Amino acid sequence: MKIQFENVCFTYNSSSGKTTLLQHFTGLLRPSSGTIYVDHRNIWKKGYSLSELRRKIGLVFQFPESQLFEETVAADVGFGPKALGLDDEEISIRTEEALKLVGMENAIIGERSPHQLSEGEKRRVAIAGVLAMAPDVLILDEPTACLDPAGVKLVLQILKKLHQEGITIIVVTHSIEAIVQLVQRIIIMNHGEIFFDGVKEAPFSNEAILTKVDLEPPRLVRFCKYLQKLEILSTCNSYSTEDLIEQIKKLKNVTAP
Amino acid sequence: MIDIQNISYSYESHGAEKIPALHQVNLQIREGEYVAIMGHNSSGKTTLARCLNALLIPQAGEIVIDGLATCDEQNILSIRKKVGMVFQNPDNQIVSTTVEREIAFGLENLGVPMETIHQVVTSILDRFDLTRYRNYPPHLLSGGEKQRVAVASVLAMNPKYLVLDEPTSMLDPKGRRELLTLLAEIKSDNAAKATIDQITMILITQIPEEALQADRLIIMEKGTIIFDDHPKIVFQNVEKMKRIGLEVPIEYEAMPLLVELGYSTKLFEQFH
Ligand SMILES: Nc1ncnc2c1ncn2[C@@H]1O[C@H](COP(=O)(O)OP(=O)(O)OP(=O)(O)O)[C@@H](O)[C@H]1O
Ligand SMILES: [Mg+2]
Repeated sequence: MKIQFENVCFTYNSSSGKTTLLQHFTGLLRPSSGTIYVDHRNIWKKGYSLSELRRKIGLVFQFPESQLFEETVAADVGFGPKALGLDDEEISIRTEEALKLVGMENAIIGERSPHQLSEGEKRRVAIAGVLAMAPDVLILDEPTACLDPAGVKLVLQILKKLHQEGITIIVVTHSIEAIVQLVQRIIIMNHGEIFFDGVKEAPFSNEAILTKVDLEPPRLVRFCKYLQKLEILSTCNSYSTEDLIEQIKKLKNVTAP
Repeated sequence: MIDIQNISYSYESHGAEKIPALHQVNLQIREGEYVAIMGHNSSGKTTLARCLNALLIPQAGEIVIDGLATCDEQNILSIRKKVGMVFQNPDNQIVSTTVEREIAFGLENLGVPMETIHQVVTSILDRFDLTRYRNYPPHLLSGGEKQRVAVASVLAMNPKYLVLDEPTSMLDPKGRRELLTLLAEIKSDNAAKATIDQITMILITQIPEEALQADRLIIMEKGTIIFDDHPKIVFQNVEKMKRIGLEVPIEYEAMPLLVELGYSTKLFEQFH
């Protein structure tokens, strides 16, 4: 599998091995066979610096708790920049900015313990911590789980912007619904194997592909198809609720006298 | 019955702002109800759940469960037996070295005889499709599987009130549906056996579709309850829900527009 400057979404039925795959990307696990090249270099060859790799690749874990270990939120978000050897001023600028990006304020939350946050707050802080490192590649494992819809939107906006700036983004999720607006390519894993790898349009609305791997078309798609069956809509190509609502609003203009 | 009387809760270390996590919450939940709770991040959902099984004691107001006040230390054990709690992060809940032992753990604590434990564990493993993981260390399971183990081990204790804090957040859509169907089945099984108390379910979720399964939906905002009604009624408040950062199922958002076009709401009753 090769991934270049693009947004990729891995989706899966639970336990099909995607979290394991991610850990391979960042050199957290060593494959029992096969080779991983990052920028054409074998990451398990002698002399390759894994710490440099981890500087290049930012990983947001599935459970934010696994990556929050400092005493305060500010120290946690600042940990990455500190490890990069940045000076204190730059560290605090980055910390503040990263927290702001995820909808939180350093002044309010910076001195609190990351373990005394709500689950959604923890996830935001974990994402901020990785953003503060300004990595070349960003890998996120279930980044939208436990976020409220406003939080999901925020995260999608951030990722979109980063992608436009040239960052490669890899998102692992079961929630195709949320992420499909963002990515171009979807890889579906099934029992530790790649089952599908291609443009997002195919699996998003193709029930045959999805049901084979025990996934389901998003509710949005099912509703679109339902409206099609009722002959209210003629096409079904909305990727978000907003798209669909727009589509319906246009209908109104057509039928209005 | 769960009787929540005007409770407020503030965490000690809640930062400069000192906004209470819960503010004058009133709520009565009757036996056998299926209640969903939704709300934006940090609206107080988990705090409320923690109050229900006496992990937290409100600083003001009182929670009384089947006549037992949570603030009375003598009641805590009986309350924990009645109120089973599935935590939002399974890693905070799972303590044992194998799946089987995790499910047996709570029963052992309750002093259930070994033989019964064995029976219950076997049937729960089967019901949750976890038999093949019987001897697996839980930390090697995927996030979704851990969540299934967490729910299974709480249900093994046969709680009268089951509080589930976003139990499906790591499950794929099919896994999510299966778990919720299973819970609904367990609930109706229980109802059929007249000898057993009806199980009461309280499901915290960010997913509007899940809330549709409940008989009652509570919306929290900034530590207070702002809606408490049937999900079908609550979801009609599309604009208000959006304003507080929440979503309604897609059909509820589309419906008013389609009705304006002259379509009947009846058309949408068949959509699930
Ligand atoms: N252990 C704690 N110590 C201090 N403050 C806490 C603690 N846990 C939660 N809080 C704060 O209490 C408020 C309510 O948190 P709670 O966990 O109840 O929210 P929630 O609705 O469950 O949110 P989420 O959707 O993110 O899980 C938040 O402002 C949070 O920061
Ligand atoms: Mg919570």
